Amino acid sequence: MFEKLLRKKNTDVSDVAPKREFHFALGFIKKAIEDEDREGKIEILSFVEKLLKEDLRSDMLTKIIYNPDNMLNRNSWFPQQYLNYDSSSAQIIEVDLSTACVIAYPWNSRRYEKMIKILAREDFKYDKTNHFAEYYVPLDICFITNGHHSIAAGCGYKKGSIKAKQVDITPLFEKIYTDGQSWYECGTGKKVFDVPDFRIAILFEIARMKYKLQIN
Amino acid sequence: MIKKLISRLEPFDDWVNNTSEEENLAAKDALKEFLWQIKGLKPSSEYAKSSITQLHTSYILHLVAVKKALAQKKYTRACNEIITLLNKEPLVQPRILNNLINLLAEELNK
Repeated sequence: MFEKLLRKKNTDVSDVAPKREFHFALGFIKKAIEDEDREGKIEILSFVEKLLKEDLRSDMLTKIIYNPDNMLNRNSWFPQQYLNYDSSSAQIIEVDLSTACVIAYPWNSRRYEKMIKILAREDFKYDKTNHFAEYYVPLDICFITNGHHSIAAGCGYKKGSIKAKQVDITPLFEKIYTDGQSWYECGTGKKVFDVPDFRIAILFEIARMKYKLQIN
Repeated sequence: MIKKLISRLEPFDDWVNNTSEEENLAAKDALKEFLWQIKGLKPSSEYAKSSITQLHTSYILHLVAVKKALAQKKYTRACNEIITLLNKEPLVQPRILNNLINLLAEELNK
């Protein structure tokens, strides 16, 4: 029993302290860019962004293998209530599973295994009644909301594409902030809800920094 | 395994990178061989943090240093920074292994 508890503790990425990770990463990033010119700053921010996207992507794709009992906090990724976003009129874009940063969360190991076996011999087929996704700009991350197992397998094999609703979260840069643990309202400091993963919080802050550099 | 990887890079380890073009290119070849070796490693199935900082994200610090060295074509410095990474971070964690492979593949093929 004790061994089992220890094992679970040692294999669970959610065991990290989100605020500590957030402040460490942001502190380092700010130091790393301070002596750089504008282009250099953007290059380093883009590089760290790429590292974290790969970190998040590979972790999500393997979470079910490493942590069969672990379920993702399925809150929204960002507080979309602060966006003037109409889901019914959102622009639809095509997302290539071999090149885009796609965050899928296969939550059932049996379904995942089945899709891995199927896609080993067949092409990925997009199904508009099963595959749902949102593509967030300017972060350039596609979050899957349905069809996690087949899309995760498609990402693993680097084949196929899906359609996603494009959501521009740029207006959120002025309306919310994060400490790595939660989202807060800028004006009031009121907590909105917990961030599902501290890496999302770091990516959000990097995107905000890049956005400010690009508009100035 | 980590010690073996480090021992291959150690002859080229020089942060100052005050070397001849020939030595610098020898370091580049060592990095190419290192890349080929780590491509064959299996990512760990158990989660681990840095043994030094006990943080998940401290690998970023080392990868940014490697990236800067490679961008400046300072290959002996890159060897030095990779050895530091190998000593401080769990290399076979997917976040570190995949990112290091991507970084080396991209920069060494330029």
